[in-house]
Amino acid sequence: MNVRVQVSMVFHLDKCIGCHTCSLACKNLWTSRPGAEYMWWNNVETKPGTGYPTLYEDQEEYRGGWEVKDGELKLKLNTRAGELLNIAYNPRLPALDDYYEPWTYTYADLIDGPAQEDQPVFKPVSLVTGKEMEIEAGPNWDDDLGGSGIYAANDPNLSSLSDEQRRQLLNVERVVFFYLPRICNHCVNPSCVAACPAGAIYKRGEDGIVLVSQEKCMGWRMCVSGCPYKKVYYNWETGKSEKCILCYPRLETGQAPACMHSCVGRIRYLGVLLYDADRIHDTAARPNHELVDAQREMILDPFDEEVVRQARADGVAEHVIESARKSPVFKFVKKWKIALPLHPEFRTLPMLFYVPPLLPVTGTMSDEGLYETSSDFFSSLESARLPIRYMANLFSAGDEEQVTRIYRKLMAGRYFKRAQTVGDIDSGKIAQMLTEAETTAEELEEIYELTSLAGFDDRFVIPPFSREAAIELVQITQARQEGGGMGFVREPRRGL
Amino acid sequence: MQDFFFIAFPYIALTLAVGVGIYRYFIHRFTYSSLSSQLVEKRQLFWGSVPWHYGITLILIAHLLPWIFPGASRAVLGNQTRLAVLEVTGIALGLYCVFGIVTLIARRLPNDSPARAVTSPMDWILLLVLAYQVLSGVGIAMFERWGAAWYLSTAVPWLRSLATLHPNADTVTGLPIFIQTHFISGFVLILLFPFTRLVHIFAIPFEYLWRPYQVVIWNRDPQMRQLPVLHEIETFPHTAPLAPCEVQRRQLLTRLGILVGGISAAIVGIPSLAFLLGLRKVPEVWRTLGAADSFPIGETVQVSFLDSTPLPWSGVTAKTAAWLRREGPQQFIAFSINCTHLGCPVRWLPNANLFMCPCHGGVFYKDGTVASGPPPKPLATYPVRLRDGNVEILTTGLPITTV
Repeated sequence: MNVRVQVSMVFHLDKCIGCHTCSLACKNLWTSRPGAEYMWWNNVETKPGTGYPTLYEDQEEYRGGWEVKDGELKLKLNTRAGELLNIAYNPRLPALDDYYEPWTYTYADLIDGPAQEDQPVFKPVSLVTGKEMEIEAGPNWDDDLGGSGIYAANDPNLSSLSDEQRRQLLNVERVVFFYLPRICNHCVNPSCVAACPAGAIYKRGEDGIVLVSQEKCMGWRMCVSGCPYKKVYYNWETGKSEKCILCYPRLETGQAPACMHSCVGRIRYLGVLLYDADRIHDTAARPNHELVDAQREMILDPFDEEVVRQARADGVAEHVIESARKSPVFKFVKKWKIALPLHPEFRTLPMLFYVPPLLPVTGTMSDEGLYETSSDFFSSLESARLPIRYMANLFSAGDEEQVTRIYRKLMAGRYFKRAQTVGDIDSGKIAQMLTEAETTAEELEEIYELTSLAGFDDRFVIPPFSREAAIELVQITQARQEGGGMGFVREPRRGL
Repeated sequence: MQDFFFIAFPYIALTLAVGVGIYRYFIHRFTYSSLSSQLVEKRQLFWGSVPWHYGITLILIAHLLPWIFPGASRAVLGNQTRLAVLEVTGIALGLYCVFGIVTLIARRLPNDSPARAVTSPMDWILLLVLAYQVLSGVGIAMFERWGAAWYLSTAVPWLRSLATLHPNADTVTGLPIFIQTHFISGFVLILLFPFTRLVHIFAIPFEYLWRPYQVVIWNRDPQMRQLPVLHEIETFPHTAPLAPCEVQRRQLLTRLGILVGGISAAIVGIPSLAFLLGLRKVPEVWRTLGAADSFPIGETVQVSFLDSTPLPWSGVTAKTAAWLRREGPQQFIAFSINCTHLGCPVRWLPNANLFMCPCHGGVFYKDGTVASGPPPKPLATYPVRLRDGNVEILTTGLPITTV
């Protein structure tokens, strides 16, 4: 056992209202620079939908992540030598059109325009070429199912659904969608790190944040292809790749990441997890249907005496272990087992987790306008508006049982609280439901507390890293703030 | 002027390339790469970048190998079939490169092209010089054929003389201007190397072939990972003692960069300074070829001798060949072995009593005058004298081509 620490996040998708506030907070803080305009380190996409960049989940096209070949874990992108041979032209790189060409408007025309009969208008101008352009796509072109028949119909996660199921999704009466906020998953087995020929991307030992060294990065762009989530972006102005840094300067000063801090629906939970670094390789090489459970096993229980002893031996500080015990992420992922990683079949062992949205219809409106719950609690799972299959494709490598188990627990929670507050369900039924959902009243109360009532300090639990304060003891960090920003000693200008 | 272009300029270019290159690597590491435009424009890039990079890499290797292994190259090129195959391959690769560079320039030209938006002035300069370099290279291959052979007796000795710090441009100063510009623009490219995106040549990540896939970096010293329990962690952060190391490392790298850059620049810079100050002189030495009696009257034989400045590591390359003809008891003529057209070694055909050049069909009479073909002048001769019954030859620098 080799205990390491990972700062990790849980997204409770039932609470996401798709307001994109997280995206904007991130954009304003980090990616409003030339060359980075098209990047959305944090984006929120509508599912079913094609996502951003378009169809990023189609690994037959982009070759991101890992695959198991002859029992060995291999980069899906290429062999090492193959990567070097492709260095002059990366055939798996998404083009700007797969994201979108960033633009602004000629706002000054509104004021400076000549007197005329018509209202003055402003025209879109490309932020890359500076020339007028036609807007053909944007980062959320199919938001809220806009144009789903054209866009969302291509969602790779729909591929294993039957034609009938796909047709029903477009049926107005049945139409359904949910939001999927995405940032870098700060994977434990990151394929961007493995694909980087220059060795510029690294995982920080202390907190597991994956970063790109801007000095070492040579702009070979293999990380962009290597990451199956397309969360490394190439800055066309500086010629370097950039990615979500989990707002580590904020974390180090005890503040929540900008996306989390600004989250209106309070869907995000952040805390540390302990995991066994010796098991990374074995876990990532498991067959598809074992991936979720294997990753859960790799994550360690900070209440286990043996784990704690080993953690101390591996240099994990006492206050970090303490923090891991209070971590809301630990509860969602390991204790209650109701949060799943996004696309575990990419085998990067993503360390951000999602509580799948509870979309099944649990009640119907009667003719008299009364809300009626169905008599058999879990039957609605089969008639779920979005097939379980779809959720399984997203969150459990196709293993429907994983999703169903979580849904049972989440539904049991709802009926349990309904019985408490409304009192229209008899206790025998609730008891039977709890057994079927393999949960207890205490557990459901805990889940309810953290899901619905939790304050900021319950949702955001990190140990004091204090690295920033440590640097400030010997350096004047303020001096750099205005010039380069982004931790650059010099301005990130290429010049030549 | 010739000395400037073929001796001083190469050293200046190399000095700057090494010195500034190292400085840029250590001090401006952020800029030490090529700015890829694949994200903004990828369709045309494929047709430009792939032919260009594969073609130019092979051509560069083909230029470097004879320079490093002249003996072996001479042996390989001795066979006419092999020479012909190499020539055809070279021209094909050259045309492949031309196609690549033309595409690369064309994709950046249109005013509204996204690739143009990410093109710097230095990129334009570089693209133009590169285009000239490959176009002139293909031109030489087409119009001055068998370059693979005459390269060995013209540019290779000159380049080797530069490398051994005994600069001698005699073998190239007489070449046609067109060929000379190819050499000069080659050194212009070396000069441009540290100031343009060309630096990415020395950023090719071969290390990727063996490094472990995953990279984990600890902010803390691994030894310091054993931490005492700190309760007042916020007032006494354990990472504090390490931050100064970071500063020292950066300063150390800066100083190291300047030091290494300076030393390297001095190593290649001193010869060029010495030249500019007029310290360089080509010594002329008399070398013995053998007893006069061993050369029959009326016959032409091949002789070999050490050049005037053999270096301990020159090995077989310090030997020079000449054709020696004994006209009478006291009269000897020593012909340079190089054809006056492009410097290919000429052959003596005793039955025909003619010198013939294998490259472009130049023919000389037995007295060295031109019989036919492209050579503009008779074969050059060395001063010869008889001393103590031995034939001696003055190893002066001879212009082998005189256009």
